Amino acid sequence: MRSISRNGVWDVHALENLEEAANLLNSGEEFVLGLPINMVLAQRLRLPTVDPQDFPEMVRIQVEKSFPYSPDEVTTDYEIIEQTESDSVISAVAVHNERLSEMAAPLLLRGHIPSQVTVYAAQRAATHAAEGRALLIYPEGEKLISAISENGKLSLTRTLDAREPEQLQRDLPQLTLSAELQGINSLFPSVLLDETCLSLRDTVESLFAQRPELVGLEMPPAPVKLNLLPEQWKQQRVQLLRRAEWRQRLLWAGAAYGAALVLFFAYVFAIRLMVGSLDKRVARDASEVAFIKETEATWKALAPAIYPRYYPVEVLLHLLESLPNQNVRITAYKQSARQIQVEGEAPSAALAYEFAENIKKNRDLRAFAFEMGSPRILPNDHAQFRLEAKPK
Amino acid sequence: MIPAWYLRMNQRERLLAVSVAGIVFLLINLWIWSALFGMAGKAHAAFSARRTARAEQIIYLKEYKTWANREKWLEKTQPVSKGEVDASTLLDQVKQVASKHAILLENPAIGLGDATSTHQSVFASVETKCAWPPLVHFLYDMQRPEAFIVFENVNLIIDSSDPTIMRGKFKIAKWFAPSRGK
Repeated sequence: MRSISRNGVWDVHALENLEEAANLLNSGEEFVLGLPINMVLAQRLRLPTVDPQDFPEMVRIQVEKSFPYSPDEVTTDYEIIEQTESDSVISAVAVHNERLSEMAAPLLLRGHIPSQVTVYAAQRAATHAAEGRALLIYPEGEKLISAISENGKLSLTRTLDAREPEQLQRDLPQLTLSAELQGINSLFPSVLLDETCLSLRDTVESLFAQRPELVGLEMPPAPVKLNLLPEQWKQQRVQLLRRAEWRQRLLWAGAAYGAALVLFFAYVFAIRLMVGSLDKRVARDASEVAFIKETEATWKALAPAIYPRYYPVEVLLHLLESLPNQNVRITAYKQSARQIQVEGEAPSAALAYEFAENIKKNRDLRAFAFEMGSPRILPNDHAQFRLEAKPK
Repeated sequence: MIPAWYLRMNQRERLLAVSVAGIVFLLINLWIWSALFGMAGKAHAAFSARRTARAEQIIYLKEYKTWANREKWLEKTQPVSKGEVDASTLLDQVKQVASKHAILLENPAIGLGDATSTHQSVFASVETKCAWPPLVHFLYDMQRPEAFIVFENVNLIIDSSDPTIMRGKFKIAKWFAPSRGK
């Protein structure tokens, strides 16, 4: 029986054995294993009311007396049926770990460890008779189980070999007698019979003078505190859960790694697409650009003929404009295709430098890069200078 | 589930196996990512180069009309050579301009200049001796954009005997359109 998406709907499968159940379980899935009565020892104990922390030890000692195994081989748990100031009535249940492991081997071999191991009869009792005393009769495999519950906790169980009414008529009085001997009132306010045992309804009614209530499969079964999960299983389960967490983390890491790779490839692919697109556009316009470059080169080569700024008269005009004053004179001017050379004389070196600076600042002479060497000082303290320029 | 071969190992063997697997994993990753980053780097460099080339193209293409007009202007305006006679025609033109400004020409010479992919030229060499103002007018009148006349060499110097006189040596060339079909 499995809850579907925890939305109140239950998926119910009739399974022959735990092998089939193991096949239905997913790795790391939480599930509760309900044990049959023949796997456990259920006892009703009356113990003095003490500190609740002392109950486990007291229960263990009591179970030791009844179970022919050492305490290490047994897992026990208990539930308090009723409690007064002086004493407490306890429902104690124990299971032999080795038998439990044998029974659950199909699950364990596939790495499925239950989150809780409880008793099926306790689940049924908690579901159908949460308050008061009740007698519950239901089948477990080929056997018939009669279980007495008090406040939803198991207090006495019997496995009946036969399922015939005659046999039941003999066995049930013995059960009630045993109950009385253990201090359980055998006048049951509630008698519950599994719906698959409809044929026994009249027999039960004749024995208890009340018509048994038919009960079906619990959907969902009530939660039970009783947990017989062995310590070793708990540790294995923690390990399994941890391993599952790590597997999950590794899966996420792998997915992230894969996504990073995919994104990287997509990035490279996108860049290549863009390169291809640019290549097409460059190729499409290449002829026009080649034409422009060729015309530009021709234009540049013909510049001395076309652009007046290269004409000697223009250059001379702008040189004269740049003279700081009339005392600075140009004495020689040479111009060729490669360079311009200007020689002159200034009353002082400072004026020569000023002339050079004016030339550099002159926007109409920006087609040339002028450089002036150190002026030569003449005997009359005049400065003889030479400027050289090359087209930029 | 943990594989059986792993379960059979002792603690030291497991540590060793995990270490080796880790190192192999790291090396493989190093190789993969190195290749990937190399690939991405090349792609990025190629993209940058193409983008720069395209940006340059766009700048050129914006000026396409200008350059097409300039090409048309050159085809229409640049004179076509008629042969060696162009040199004497150029000298005549120089003489005409010089006489207009009363400039005396000395040592005239003509010749064929360089032939390049953009022009073929003829030249006329002359020497002058004149005052500054007529020289300026001579220089001004000789050149205009449509004339394709270039002063390939200019050498001006103040006359040592008379500071008001300029002595000039000029190599004046006319740049004709390059011969087609060659």
